[in-house]
Amino acid sequence: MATTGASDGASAAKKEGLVTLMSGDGEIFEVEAAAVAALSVTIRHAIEEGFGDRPIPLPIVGARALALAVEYCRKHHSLGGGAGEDSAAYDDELRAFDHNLAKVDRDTLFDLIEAANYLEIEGLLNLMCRTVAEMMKGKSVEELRRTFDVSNDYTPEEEEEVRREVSWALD
Amino acid sequence: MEELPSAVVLEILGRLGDAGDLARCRLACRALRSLSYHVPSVRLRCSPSAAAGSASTSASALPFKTLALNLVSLLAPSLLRLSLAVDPPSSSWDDADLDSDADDLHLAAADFLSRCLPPLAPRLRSLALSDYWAQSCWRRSDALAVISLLCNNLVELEVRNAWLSVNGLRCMPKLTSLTLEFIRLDDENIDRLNECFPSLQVLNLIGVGGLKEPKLHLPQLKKCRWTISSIPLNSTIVAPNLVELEFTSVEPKILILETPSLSDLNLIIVKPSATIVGAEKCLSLRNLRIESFGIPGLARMFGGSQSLKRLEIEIPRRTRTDELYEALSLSDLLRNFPHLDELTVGPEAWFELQKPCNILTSTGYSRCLKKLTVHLEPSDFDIKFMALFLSLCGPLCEVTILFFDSSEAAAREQIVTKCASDFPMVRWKWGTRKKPNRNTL
Repeated sequence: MATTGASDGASAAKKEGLVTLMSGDGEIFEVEAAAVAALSVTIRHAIEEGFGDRPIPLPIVGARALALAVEYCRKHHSLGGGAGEDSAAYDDELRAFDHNLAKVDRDTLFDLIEAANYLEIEGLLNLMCRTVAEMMKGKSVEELRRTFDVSNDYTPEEEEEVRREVSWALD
Repeated sequence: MEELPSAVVLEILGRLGDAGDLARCRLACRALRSLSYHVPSVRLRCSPSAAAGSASTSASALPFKTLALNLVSLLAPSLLRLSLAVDPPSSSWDDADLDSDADDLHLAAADFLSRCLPPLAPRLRSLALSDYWAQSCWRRSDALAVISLLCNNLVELEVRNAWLSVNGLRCMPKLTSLTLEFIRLDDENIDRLNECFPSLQVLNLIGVGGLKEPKLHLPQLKKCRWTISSIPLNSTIVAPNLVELEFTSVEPKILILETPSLSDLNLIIVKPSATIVGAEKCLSLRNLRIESFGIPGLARMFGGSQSLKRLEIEIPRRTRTDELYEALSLSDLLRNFPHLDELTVGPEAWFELQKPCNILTSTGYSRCLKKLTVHLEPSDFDIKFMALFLSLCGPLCEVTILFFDSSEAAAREQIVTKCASDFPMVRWKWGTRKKPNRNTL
């Protein structure tokens, strides 16, 4: 996301209200502390534990997923916070934002789920789990394996047994 | 997906809901199979034609109830929410094929529930049963007695398409949400319902028949949707904590409201013969929506309300040549509500207000509206009428025009340009809305 501004890590003077995050692949993000701390439990705890001055390492979160997660926090913090008189308009905008975010490709989707889970961003995790569940609906077993990259680890005998058990749900 | 933590995968499977999808996941790989037994909620549904087809063609196919029993015993340790549903028959389904002796899809049958619920009952929070009317309509069911005996921790209950007795119904103090839809209920004045569900906060009674003089008396009730079939009834709602009410009826005789906390009221009363007793005592009423042929009469019953801030009016869809029972005049309407901030006008009401005989007179109301919202078809737009309408609004009024998304973009654009150039001082907002699917009463 363009506004996230991944810098080169050599940021000198610490700007007021910013916190530095380091993705698992070493990219540095300077983001508004208030926005991410409001939505991410993990980052809130890290800031409370005095990580505010040093980059917070997020070992299992890739740069791309982190950028998207930060964008999510920023958007939801700025629009979702107050129930002002324009809350209906905000709701529409947030819904549109979430809807677009959920259109990412499968790998990014799973990266984002891992990121949301690690960063404890409940809303994002819910959104992404809902998205995956929607994608699974109505799919055949073969489609499920293909779409979600799971391999069949049953022995032929086991598979036959499970197949009998769920035969009512197969076409 | 295999790299995700189990808790997250379980979260995903839990959102899947459908038992068929869950079953197919079990066959995909071992990990999904073992996790699938731990989902907290599941829904099993069946279409009656499929049930008939499978019974005759394939000997191995399991009957729906057997399937439900198997599922319940598999998931019992983790299940908190269970939904069993028979889809309503498609229109091609021939009633003549129906066998009234069959009860293979009669889900509210007491003997079926007595076998199905025990393994889950102590933990079950939410239960939804959508029965098959073609079978359930012949059989009065003691489902409520069974459920109230077994499911002591149930918070939410939905039953659809069944004939329910209240014999043997025990008190369910933990139940806070109840939905009964297309139910024949043998509790003509709702006495047992009041007595046995004292903690209800949410109640939906949609097309519940068998009622005579229903009197809801629920001290905890906060939100209620009540849709009454065509027979005129006297209905009473005594609910000191009720905040939100949607009341739909073709032609009620009397609706008695003892609801001092009521804030949002949506009244859909087609014919204007109704009397609302206690309307003037709804001192917390802030939002009122009236959909009726008799808007003026209903509005007068709430007239003088000091608390009302938002009013929405609409006329049920009809042939537009039909006359209303009473002409709809905006100035008369607004005179009832001196403190109104926002007015929303539906497309049919807008059409009616534009009629020359209903055009507003300029006296008797103050220019106080802060927000005006109009839903309209571009073909119903008249700039002269808009000018008159705007004379009602306060100086900084915000005017939102919502077109149906099915209308032509060019026609919409023309109106937007015209309004912006003719009334540059108004704060205009434009948008589109889906054309509503009206539920026919």
